[in-house]
Amino acid sequence: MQETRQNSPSEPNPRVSYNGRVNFLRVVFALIFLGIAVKLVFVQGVKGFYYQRVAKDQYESRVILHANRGLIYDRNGSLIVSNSYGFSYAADPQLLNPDQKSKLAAEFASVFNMPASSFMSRLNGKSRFVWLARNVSPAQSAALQNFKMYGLIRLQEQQRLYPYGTSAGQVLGFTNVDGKGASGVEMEFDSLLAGTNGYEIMQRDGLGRKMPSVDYPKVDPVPGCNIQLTLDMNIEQIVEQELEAGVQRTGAASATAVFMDPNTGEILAMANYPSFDPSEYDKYSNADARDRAITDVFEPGSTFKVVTASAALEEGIETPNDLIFAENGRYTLYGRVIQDFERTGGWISFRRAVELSSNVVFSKVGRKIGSDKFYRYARDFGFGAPTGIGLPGEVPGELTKPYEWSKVSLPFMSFGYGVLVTTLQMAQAYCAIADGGILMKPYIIDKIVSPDNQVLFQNSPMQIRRVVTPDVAQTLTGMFVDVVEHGTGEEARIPDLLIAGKTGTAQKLVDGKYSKKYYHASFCGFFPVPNPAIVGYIMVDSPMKGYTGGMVAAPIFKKIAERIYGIMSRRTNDLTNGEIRMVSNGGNGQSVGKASASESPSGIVSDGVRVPDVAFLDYGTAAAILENLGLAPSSSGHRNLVVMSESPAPGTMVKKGSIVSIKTADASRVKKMPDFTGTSVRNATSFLLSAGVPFRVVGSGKIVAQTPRAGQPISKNVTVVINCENKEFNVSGLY
Amino acid sequence: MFDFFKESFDYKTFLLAVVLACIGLLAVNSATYNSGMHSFFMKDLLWQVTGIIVAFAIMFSSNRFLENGAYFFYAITILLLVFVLVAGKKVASHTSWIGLLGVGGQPSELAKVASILTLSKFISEKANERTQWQTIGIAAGIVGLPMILTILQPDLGTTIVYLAIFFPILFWAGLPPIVIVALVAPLAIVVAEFTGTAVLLITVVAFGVLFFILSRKKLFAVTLSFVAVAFGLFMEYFYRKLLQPHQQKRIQIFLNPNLDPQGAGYNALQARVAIGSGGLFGKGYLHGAQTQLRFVPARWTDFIFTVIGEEFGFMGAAVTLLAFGALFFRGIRIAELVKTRFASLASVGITSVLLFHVFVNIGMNVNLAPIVGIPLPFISYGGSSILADWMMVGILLNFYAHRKEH
Repeated sequence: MQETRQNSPSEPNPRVSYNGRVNFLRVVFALIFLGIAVKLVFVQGVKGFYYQRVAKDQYESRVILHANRGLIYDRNGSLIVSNSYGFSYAADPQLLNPDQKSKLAAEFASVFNMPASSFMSRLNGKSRFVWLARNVSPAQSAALQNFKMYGLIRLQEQQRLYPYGTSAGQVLGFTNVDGKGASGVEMEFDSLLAGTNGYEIMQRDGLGRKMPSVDYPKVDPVPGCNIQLTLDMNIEQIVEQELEAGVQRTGAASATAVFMDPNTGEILAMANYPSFDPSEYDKYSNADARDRAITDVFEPGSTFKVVTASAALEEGIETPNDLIFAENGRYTLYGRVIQDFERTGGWISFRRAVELSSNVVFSKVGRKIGSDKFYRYARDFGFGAPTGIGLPGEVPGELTKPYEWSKVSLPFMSFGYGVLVTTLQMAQAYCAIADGGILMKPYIIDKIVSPDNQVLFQNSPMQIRRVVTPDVAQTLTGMFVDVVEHGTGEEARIPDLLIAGKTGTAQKLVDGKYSKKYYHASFCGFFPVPNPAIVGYIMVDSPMKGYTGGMVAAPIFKKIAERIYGIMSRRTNDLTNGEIRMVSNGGNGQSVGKASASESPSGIVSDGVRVPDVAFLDYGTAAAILENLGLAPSSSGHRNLVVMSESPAPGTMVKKGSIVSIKTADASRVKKMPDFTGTSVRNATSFLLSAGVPFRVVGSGKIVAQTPRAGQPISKNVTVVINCENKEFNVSGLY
Repeated sequence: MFDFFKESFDYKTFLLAVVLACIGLLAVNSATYNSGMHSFFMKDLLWQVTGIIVAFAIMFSSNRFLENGAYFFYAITILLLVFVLVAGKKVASHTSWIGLLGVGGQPSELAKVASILTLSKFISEKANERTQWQTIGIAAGIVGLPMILTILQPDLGTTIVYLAIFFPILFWAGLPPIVIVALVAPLAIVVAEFTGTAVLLITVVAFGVLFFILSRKKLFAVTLSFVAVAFGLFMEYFYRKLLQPHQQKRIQIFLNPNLDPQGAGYNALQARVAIGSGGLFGKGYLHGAQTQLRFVPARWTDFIFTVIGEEFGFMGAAVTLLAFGALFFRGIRIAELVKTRFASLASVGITSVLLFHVFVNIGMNVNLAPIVGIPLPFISYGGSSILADWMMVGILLNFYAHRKEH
């Protein structure tokens, strides 16, 4: 074939035939070149911006710098909610082979005590990021410390820390797994607490290593605002402990209590039992997480008589000594039977009717008041409307309007049936009586402070309205004192303390009928009379041993009152100025006997001086202070040593010229933590600086607590934390 | 001497090669700048200088030196290729020899040059004593032997390069186009089959049309077309029925790495992102994030074009391409100018081998060719490769210097 072609390979002179082929070759070469060039134009020109973005995305990664969530303090500056950093674990299943997956699942199954299959199913997913465990406990992360595997991701995540455990758990609320507030204060003020996350552009290389990029400035996170609550954690804990004890004792289903300062409307304690641990919120039902004091309503029973009595006295319908026929404790009205729990007999005074909580009398008084007036008083006391305390989930309760009422509505309402109230509403109503007739708006947020220590919001007491005149309030208080002194509330009586109170026992509505088995037992009290500083309302749901407010709730109130009164007395003794309001208000009354019996004012003894507290100061400073006061330090010290103890003890009155014996030591050689409590920050820091131990001061004023505790070994690697009284809400000294 | 440089020195070819070598030095420096491999630049420089010396030595050698030494050169490179295979098997467990094997793998670079010279010499001298089919057979043997030895290494990229020697030289030698087309057809059909049934259909039809255009004997054309269709059907059967799905997938991914962006396609993707993100003017020398942050693998060898594309942008890539283009046209021009058939064939062989390298290498970088790992002439880092490139330039310079001699 083609045997005679001129330019076959055997052709000796190829020159002639080149022209055609050389052009063909050039065209082919040019086409190949054009192909590359066109593709280059496409890649670099047409899709250039696209690839620039792809490139940027892969070598620049935005690292979120999480803002520290705001802290929550109680009224005394004690930290109730702070932050810690916990570890979470995730995995990239695409980087793991089946062997590694099963090994990983087995390891996590043993550490977390869960079936390996639950981890396996996640590891077999298609995603490149699956959570294995979030916010693990320190013990669990320690167990996983040495378990390393390519594809296992360990992340540090912020966790909320609750130094008081379950205390006030429902009020504070919890943050969900993503760190967002999901209930309580955490939810209501989530946006303020959350702060603003910052970010940093990190440069990532092809090997997956990250380094900060110099091309972009780092945007620092802005920490969240700190919130100071009006809660007093001392009182909160007392209330919670006694509620729990009361529930245990009576076999009740639950109990709720609100304690307030009637002068201001501040919530001092808001407690629910069963309790709720916000750090383990997933172990609780939604029902346990709710703050029943504001979310749950009940028929109050006799404690609601405060409305009836107020209206009757204020409107001049009854005076305390007016006699009313009590129908021997049983009264039938429109076919409905009204009964008294106590033996009331025939004609009794209105005062006695309050003491014995006569439903018969109150139903009669209520009818005398009339629907419209009664409704107005109930409304004025705050029933049927939310208090506006500023916590999520608050309900208004139920107070129907007179035109909706039947004939029996008013008489039954007069002793607390046919209305639905919250514990907080009840406490608020009694505050009005304790406060001389003025209804205060309850509040739990004292102030909100920005991270740079600016006060963004400062709450203050807010009067809503005058409900009764001071005279009526005083009269009612006297009647309520009688209730405790020799009425249904005797169980709340404390010898040294004048308490006003009112019991309440309400049959629970079960399946549309009033139960003979399930009751709401409640007690509301306030003290010290005549200048009440504390109002408390206790509601016990379904007690099994005993059922009346007097038997069930009053004893709980008594125990709480005793303990709170103990704190108040102590504080009064320590009192140096009028800052502790609840004491300064009550301190001038004779009823706070112990408080007013504090020792005589200091510094008046002639020629006498108090031994100053020079503990932990260096010897030179200590000696100078003593000498300035005319005291002679024992000369055993060296200037560079620190004072470890002095005698006589600080505060002792001695004559000028007395010798104060001082023991010193080289701070850096001291092996165990001294006891700093009661001394001043200046003294303690002097020691810690000399000892070269890192430390942190929380608050200001006298030291009340320390970690590590006294006697524990000192370590230069452990930061000592000193907690002070915190007279000022001092954020800058905190984390 | 002055007369030589005025009359016989093809400074255009030489300078184009020098320009490319300089681009290569810049690119190698950048590619290794942040990776703790500073010695690469100096080694590259050393190889470039060595290459230039070798090129000059070849240029100054006599006009018969290359033709006479071709077979000898060929024999030595074949022995080296065999040695690599044998030594490789023997010392597989000795780690100290692995490094040596890395160098030992490179005789295939020199074998390419030797094969060009040998094939050109055989066709220019002996072919007229044999029939056309005998010539094709022996020619196939000459390139087939190093191909087999190279594929055994295994080095697919370099093996395929021999096709760029074989077909262009046969074409240039005057083989009828129908024969070339008939020889290329099976390869094209195989590739077409892997690409897709529709492509296969079009390819088979296209070859049928080509056969009818190029052949005056219609029966012959019909026969060829029939064979092509039969082969296509067989390939279809082979690919769809005999190959397991995972084998099919591997072939697919080889031809189009984009199908596996996390695996085989990762490198191709990173290379494309690097070049694409360079845009028109590039990110500036040593400022290519893809390169400097080590996203692009083998950026000093197979993917060195990404450095140029990213840091100098389209402008840099275009300058590089134009330099290559000009070099190839010089190669073809020399093939035209020279008086001996040997020199003419060898020039075409050299030019087409360089072109093939450039096309496949840059094609790898811009998703135009599968990732087969062959270097970019003068630019990719690698001693043997640079040496072979300069040898080929030296051969072109030698041909030019002796272009008027028969």
